Amino acid sequence: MSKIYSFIIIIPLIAMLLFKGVFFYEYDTKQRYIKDLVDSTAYVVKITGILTQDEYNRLKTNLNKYAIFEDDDIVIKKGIYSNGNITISEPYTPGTRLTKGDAFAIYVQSDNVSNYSKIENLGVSVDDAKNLYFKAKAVCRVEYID
Amino acid sequence: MKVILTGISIVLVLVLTFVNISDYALYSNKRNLIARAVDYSVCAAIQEVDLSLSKVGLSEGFDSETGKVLINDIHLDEQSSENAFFETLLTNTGEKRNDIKENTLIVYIHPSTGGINYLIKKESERHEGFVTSPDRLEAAINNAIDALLDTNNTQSDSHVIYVNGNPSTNEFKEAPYFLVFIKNHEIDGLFRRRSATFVGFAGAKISRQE
Repeated sequence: MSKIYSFIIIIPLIAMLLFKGVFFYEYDTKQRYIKDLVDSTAYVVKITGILTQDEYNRLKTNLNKYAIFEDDDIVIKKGIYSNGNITISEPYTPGTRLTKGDAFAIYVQSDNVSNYSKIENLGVSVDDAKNLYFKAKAVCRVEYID
Repeated sequence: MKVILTGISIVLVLVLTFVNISDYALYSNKRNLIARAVDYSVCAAIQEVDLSLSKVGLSEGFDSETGKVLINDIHLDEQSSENAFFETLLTNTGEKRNDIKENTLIVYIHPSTGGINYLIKKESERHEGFVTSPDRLEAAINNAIDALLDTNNTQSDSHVIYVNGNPSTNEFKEAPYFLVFIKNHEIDGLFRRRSATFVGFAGAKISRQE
């Protein structure tokens, strides 16, 4: 009888926990890589004052190694610092040269929901707030001196 | 019965392992996020030069004998620099100024004739001083950390900064700097709070147009 219980309850429970562990590890690792990519791109803009089209394409290609990122999922903006306060309002077009002191921001959010989220919600939840996407952002100030 | 007990033990071990890994992963993710944001924030703050206080310094230009760019008497605007620092940190991490200001030490450094002036701030406390060379700044800042922040807990992170101690690191030079030391900032994991200490500094990149 006890063997039947173990097959019906305990083994599926162990399997579920192992799956959760594996998918959490996958989510955490990918999330870190994505943040690294966004930070590296922001750093390039911080010291050079420009995000070239090539650099943008490289960012998109690399992001797509970890999750699905369309052009709409990568939001790039620029802004200004006034008395130390940031206002980021305008969209940034790759290839535009920024001046020293400008603000630069990248926000990315994957198109697809992570596997960890799917196992937690038993699929993609209709309530989007419960879905866990891959997200990262970086806001920096341009140091480039023309 | 033996099979069920073994099964339950395995489940418990797995749950504990999973929860602990998740807890540390959340903490380390937030810690890395803040550490990077501190770097962005000090680089934003150092650009807030007080133009009226720096009139003399900015007008000096070059040393007529050596041709070296002069950067003496260039001051930062305290309010704007701090706004830039805390705003950049907030937009990158969501950490609010009020939540971290009591653990934060801000150091302004500007060279002048014969040495280097520094101002160390913690909320409303201000300590101004003067050292004759950049290599003495490290000791002055470490003394202030001891005096202004609670460093009695031996279990917490390091209470000192090492800048000049290791020749491989960037040494303080004779230049304006904005330095921040955030001591024992508490970060939430899944169920446990851990603390971390952050240090960031940036030197002003003064350009002279020809």
